Amino acid sequence: MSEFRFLLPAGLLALISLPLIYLFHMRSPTPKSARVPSLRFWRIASPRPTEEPRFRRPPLTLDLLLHLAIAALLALALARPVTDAFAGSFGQRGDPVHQIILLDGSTSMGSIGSIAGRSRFDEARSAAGARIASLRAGDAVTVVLFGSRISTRSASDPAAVNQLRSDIQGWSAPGGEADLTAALLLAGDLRMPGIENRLLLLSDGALSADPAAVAATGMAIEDQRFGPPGAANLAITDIARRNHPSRPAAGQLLVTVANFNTAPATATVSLTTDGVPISERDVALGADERRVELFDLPSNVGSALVRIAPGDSQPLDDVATIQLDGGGFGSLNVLIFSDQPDSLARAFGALPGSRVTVETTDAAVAGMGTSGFDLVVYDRVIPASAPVSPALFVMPPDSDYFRSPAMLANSTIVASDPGDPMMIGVDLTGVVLGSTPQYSVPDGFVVPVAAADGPLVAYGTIANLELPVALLAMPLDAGNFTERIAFPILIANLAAWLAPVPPPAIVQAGDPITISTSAAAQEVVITAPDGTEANVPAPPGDTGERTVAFAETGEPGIFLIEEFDADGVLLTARRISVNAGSPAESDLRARAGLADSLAGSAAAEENGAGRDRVTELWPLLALLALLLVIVEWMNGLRTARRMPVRLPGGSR
Amino acid sequence: LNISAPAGSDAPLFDEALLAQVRRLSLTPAGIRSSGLAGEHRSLRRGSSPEFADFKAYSIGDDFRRIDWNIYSRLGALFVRLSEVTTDISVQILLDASESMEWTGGPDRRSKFVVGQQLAGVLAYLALQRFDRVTITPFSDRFRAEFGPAQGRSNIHPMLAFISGLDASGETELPRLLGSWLQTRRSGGFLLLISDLLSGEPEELGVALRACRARGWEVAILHLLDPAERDPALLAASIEDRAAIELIDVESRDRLRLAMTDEVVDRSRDAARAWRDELDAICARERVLLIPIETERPLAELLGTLSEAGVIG
Repeated sequence: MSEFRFLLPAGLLALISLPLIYLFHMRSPTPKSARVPSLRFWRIASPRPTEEPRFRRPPLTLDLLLHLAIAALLALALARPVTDAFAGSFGQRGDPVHQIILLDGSTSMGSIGSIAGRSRFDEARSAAGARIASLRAGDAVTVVLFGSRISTRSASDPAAVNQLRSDIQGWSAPGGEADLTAALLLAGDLRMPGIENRLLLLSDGALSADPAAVAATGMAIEDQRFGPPGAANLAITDIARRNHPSRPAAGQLLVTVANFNTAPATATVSLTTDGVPISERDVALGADERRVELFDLPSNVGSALVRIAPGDSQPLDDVATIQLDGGGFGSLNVLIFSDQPDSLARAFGALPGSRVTVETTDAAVAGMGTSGFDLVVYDRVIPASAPVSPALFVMPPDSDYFRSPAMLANSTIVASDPGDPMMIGVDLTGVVLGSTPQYSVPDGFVVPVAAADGPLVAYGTIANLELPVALLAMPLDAGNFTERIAFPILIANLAAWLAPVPPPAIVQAGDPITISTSAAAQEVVITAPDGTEANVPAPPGDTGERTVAFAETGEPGIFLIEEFDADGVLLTARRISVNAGSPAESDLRARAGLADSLAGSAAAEENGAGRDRVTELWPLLALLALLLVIVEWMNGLRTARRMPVRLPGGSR
Repeated sequence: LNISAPAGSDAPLFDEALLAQVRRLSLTPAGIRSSGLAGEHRSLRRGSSPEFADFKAYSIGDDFRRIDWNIYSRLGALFVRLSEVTTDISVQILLDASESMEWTGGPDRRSKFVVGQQLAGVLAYLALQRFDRVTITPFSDRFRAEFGPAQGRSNIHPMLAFISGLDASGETELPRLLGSWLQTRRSGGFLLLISDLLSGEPEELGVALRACRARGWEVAILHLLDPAERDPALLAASIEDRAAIELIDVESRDRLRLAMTDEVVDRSRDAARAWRDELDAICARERVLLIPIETERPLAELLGTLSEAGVIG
């Protein structure tokens, strides 16, 4: 309900001018005078001069009405009336405002909008620019771009506001699933005290919000939507690989196809592996039905691409890719130099995505290259040349890396640090070790497990190698260590430290990619599907967590992640598939409950949580008064013209 | 003649062509008593002027210098040549310069004062042209600096300049001033009173005129009347709100608030007419020539009126 109030009620005292004007018009007018040469004859003609009362009932003249109207308008203008009934229509807005714009950058906003060739996000971006352009000097604006992640940008001075308006047109959608609740909570925190805060939501309506978060904003939410509210969509919402039940060397692809529509539809699903078309089939889907299609994969294929047809308003989720080569770029390649590799091969082979290669110790002595392997295990052997990959030394002979002057007098485990990362989940209780050499480790090495006079497990970085190196001084062919569950767990922990686990091969669009870099990595280069490269410096090798996060995954496709060392040598290269389809974002239809949820904010504002958008009416009133003054002046001019220019007397 | 226009007017006060046209006219006051010999007015007196009048037989006592010896040689009898003596008259012009003379009932009409200036100038011009002694005395509440007495054509230009420099202001009380003026004049002459006579009562004016006549003054009154004075309806027509109008006497500044109804206008017209009739009666009684001068008429027509009245001829 619109409100009308006065910012300066004392100005209404000027209404006292109305009775004064009326009183003024009650005065008998002074008659026009005329000069005559003599009153002799007029006195004879009118012996009793006319006497009029000092006051009279004023005639209802145009002048009287105009004077009263002008005074009333000016008095009202002095009181500075404001109303929210004409907000944005005319008049002058009073106080500055803080405009908060929630810009939906989820994957669904990438679908085609109301205008051909423009996505919903393009239209929302333009609307945000238009709203910013409508702001006045003194206003502030904050744009919250939200998808699976949220970013904000604020501006308060005119130059910054203009810059923000310009920058917005270059923004790309972060993608992912929109977290409107988090955006609303953030908007509530962004409210500026003391000025009017306005909240504008630019979305396709294909999202939901927590009513509590809506109410917490304390602002009426202006909901502006883009795209048809009931847009139908066929999408690939999931893709996964599993081993073939009967042919372990081969695999199967599980593709989830969904029909987000109230009418049945038929989708043509085609599979391509390594660029070669493999299969194509029609899938009939009922209304709002989701179905998993199974495809047999050829052996030794690196990647698969699934596409559905016909195209619809959301082309991004009509395609999905997956990286299939477990021994390729996306796996953990382990090279073991051992003459008795069984226990080690079993332990490393159990690691997810690992690919184990076994060589004899002679190969290591002969100087076999280890480039391209993520981790090299030297079992009771020292390589002929310095290792170039992270290395695990198992019971190494005496060398410059680990001095071993003698055997331990007692190899019983006497010290174990359960808080060490290598010891997570490792229970050494009951472990019996055989004869064990006594090692001295380089400075800076961490020793989580030790006997009475020497380390049993140690890890660190050898200074001249700048490589992570671990020492396992436990005999694998004696004692019971390899038979305990602690062994593969310890191996897994050591492998995770020496060669970080590669990122998952499939990421949802908009979700960040967390990359665990190797210790030697200096720079990570991420190449997006459109060819743009992002260079991210790797964390220093001596830090505990060597992870790099990359969030610009709004564009679906295959991302190439490469790690380079300080000399620019490629260490690893991985591919990650980013797919847009998801049960939440592929459903382009506006959520029915969203409008009701957003309506709750208006009630909160009615309760005083927010300030009204008001329009000052005094300029309008002053303008009307000015117009009436002009009318009064023209009326006076017209009256004067009707009267004679000169009255008799006085001039030749 | 190069007389500038009077203040506030673009038109010249005197027109050269008009003056040339009236140059052969002269004042013709009836029953005036002439005095000097400088003028050109014919006289019953005979004398020794070059103007031949008649012969008469010589008788003892005649100036033998005037015997016409040619006749004696032809006829053998003595005849004396008689010549006509010309005389001049004293012309006194009293010009009302009170503020009521400045009034005009219409923006396009000449004021009474302008018409009075023109008439005074023409009449004085005729007098000076005939070598009469001319005195011009403007007056309002008192007598102002006068022109003259002057005689001869050389005074025409100064006379016209004097008249052009006059202005109208102040009140007047004509009967009293006329009495005062009469006290300062020893001999009679031709008195031309140019006024709107809107001062004093007609009877008081009659008394003053009688005194003038008794002192040997032939009096002619040029009564200046604006059309709106003759017909107040003309004034009423120029007023929009006649229901409430305040009239201001231009001389006394007295005010009269009235409703200028048609009835009031008619009564005013009747009062003005009765006043003029009373003036006519009094002037007739006192054998004073009262000539109404309607200011809207051109000067040439006004001179015709004066000629018809016998003032000039």
